[in-house]
Amino acid sequence: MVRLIDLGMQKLEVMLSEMAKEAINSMNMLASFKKGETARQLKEISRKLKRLKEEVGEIVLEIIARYQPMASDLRFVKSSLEISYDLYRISRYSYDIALALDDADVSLEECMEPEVQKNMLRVKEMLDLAIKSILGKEEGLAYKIKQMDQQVDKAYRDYFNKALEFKGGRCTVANLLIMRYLERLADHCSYIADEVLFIVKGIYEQE
Amino acid sequence: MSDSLPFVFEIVALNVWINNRHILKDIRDLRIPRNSVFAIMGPSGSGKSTLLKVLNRLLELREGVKIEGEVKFNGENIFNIDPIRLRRKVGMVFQQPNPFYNMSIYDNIAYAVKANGIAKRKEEIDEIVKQSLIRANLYEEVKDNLKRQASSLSGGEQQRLVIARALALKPEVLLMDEPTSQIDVVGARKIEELIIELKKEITIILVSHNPQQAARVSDYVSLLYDGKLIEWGPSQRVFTYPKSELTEKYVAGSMG
Amino acid sequence: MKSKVIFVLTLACLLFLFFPFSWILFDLIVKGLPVILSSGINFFTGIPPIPGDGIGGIGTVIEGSLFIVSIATLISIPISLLTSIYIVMNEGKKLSRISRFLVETVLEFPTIIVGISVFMIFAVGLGLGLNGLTGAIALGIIMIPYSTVQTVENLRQAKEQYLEVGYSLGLTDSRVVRLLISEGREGVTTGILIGLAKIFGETAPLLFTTVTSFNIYLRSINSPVSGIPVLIFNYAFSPYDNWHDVAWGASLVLALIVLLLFILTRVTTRRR
Repeated sequence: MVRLIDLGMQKLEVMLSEMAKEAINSMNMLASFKKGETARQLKEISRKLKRLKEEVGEIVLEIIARYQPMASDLRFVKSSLEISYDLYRISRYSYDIALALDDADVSLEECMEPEVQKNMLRVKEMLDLAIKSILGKEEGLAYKIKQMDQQVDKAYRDYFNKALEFKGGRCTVANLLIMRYLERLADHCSYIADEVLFIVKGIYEQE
Repeated sequence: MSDSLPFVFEIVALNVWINNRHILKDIRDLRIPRNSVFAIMGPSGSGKSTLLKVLNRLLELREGVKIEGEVKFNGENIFNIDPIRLRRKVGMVFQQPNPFYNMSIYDNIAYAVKANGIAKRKEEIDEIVKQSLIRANLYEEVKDNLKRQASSLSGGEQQRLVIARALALKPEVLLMDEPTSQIDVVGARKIEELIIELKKEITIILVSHNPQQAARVSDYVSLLYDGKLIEWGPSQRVFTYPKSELTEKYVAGSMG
Repeated sequence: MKSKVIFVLTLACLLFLFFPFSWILFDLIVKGLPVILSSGINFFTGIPPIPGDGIGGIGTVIEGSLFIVSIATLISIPISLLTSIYIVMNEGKKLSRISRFLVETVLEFPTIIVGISVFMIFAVGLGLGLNGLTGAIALGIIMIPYSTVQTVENLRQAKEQYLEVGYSLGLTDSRVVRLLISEGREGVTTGILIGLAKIFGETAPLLFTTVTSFNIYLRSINSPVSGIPVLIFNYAFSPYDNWHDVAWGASLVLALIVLLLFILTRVTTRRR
């Protein structure tokens, strides 16, 4: 049956889907990196997602004021606030990665070390899963994401330690920055997983 | 009778038939914590009012009623207590405001006080009337003339008068059967605020046809559907994360 | 077009209804008022005239009617009230339903039969004789169902509103009944007034239970007094013109009394 609140909920889901698409897009653009241009495009995208996040906030306020959401509706509404923020941050970190590459004046093919490449793919997979888990409200995917986050963290720490010993230069700096941003990006995927678990199970699980 | 027990009412097991129709079906383990507002919600026809009227044994006045089970009030089985004594401790407010229209505001409250022999001297009764009106948040609005006819009050004021009338007997529990459904919005809000104040001193069991009202006002909430107890628990939990799918449907508005 | 036709028809029926009533009232006033005026206050205080001469007054039968009706009311109120209370408070039980049925049946009884029965049982059987008291018994019996039916209706309404309230306040059964009567008292009063209006004008039962002489005032409870309708009946059929005139005057008085009672009934119910 269609309830009055469903109109608002639909708007919310559409917004989140659009934000998710742009977030994935932003990571994809990194794969086909072009100096200067990629950063510009990613700046646009992250600006757009900032606006969309604010719109989500307005829709949430409207739903609360007008429809008094309860139970799973209520949890979804609350989580969508958090998730919209996470998706914005994800696009922002993609932009940061592009900036780092521009600032260091290097290209991915030149510099990217295998473990950094691996981590980037890992994080991209995490983002894909995160989006899927939002749309499908799937517990299992959420747990997988949290697992992968631990792997990303480890990879970052390992690289950091390696870079400390290494007298690298531009590439090292670039790689380190990328790993750092990837780690933060992965954290936001993990936060999305936490929200999905909250929607499904009603609680935030402690570590 | 111990009133230091944490639960003022305990429905151990309850079945009710009216004219051979099974109205309340095996209600079990429902406990009303003292000094709380306990809401009973559910779609119409689910037996909410019936359940309420079992608690002050008013249901037994109807024809064709069969009640089986054990219900405890402060640890005692209510079916072993004198119903008149029980009703003086368990007051009731009905859906339709029903003050005694032929009597003044003063007499409305004084009537049962005198009839039950609670007070005899005029000064005592005056004081009880005043205190009851204050507790019911009505005193300020009527204090200039307590001899006014009850029929001259607005709907919301009449309902508060009814509450004052019930409070005059100093009950431990107040049963409220959809007390605001016939009142205007502003009056209803005042009654909801009154309920929250009253719970400091007494326990309130409230039947509500409106889950939003139950959510605003109650500390504990239960869902009755088709005569069965679906779930009950702290409102904070039930409204954000209900255990039963039926509850989820009812509060989210996707039932019916 | 159709609504116009209906309007005209309705108006016609209204006039048709109004017409005889107005005619009667008009006739009464035309024929009765001069009689009353010619006698003045004496019409209400004096005794009836000898056949053939003068107007005199109907003071004896006014007093007689008041006496008979008062006793009748005194007899019927407690019976009516208690019966109503029983019927309303025991609504599910068989006896309550039977009582209700009996009351409604007696309501329809021809009053002349009540008169004859009271004559047989009380006047003859119990030796009470023909007097005001016996008349009052007959009228009391007739009044009971009228008051009861009205009171039952009112108590029923009061019950719907206040029964549960009363019990929820911890009142005992008797207190709850008192509450219902108190809250329904307008209806109870109306019931009594309706009964009164009915019996004030009853002729047949009085014909069988009391006398047809109208010359004495009340001296004791079983004084042979009579009522206004009996005088009217007697004098109207008599061969004396002055007695006819007295009958007209008495008819007007009776009509006014009954009218007054009905107005009182409307006034008391309007007060809510």
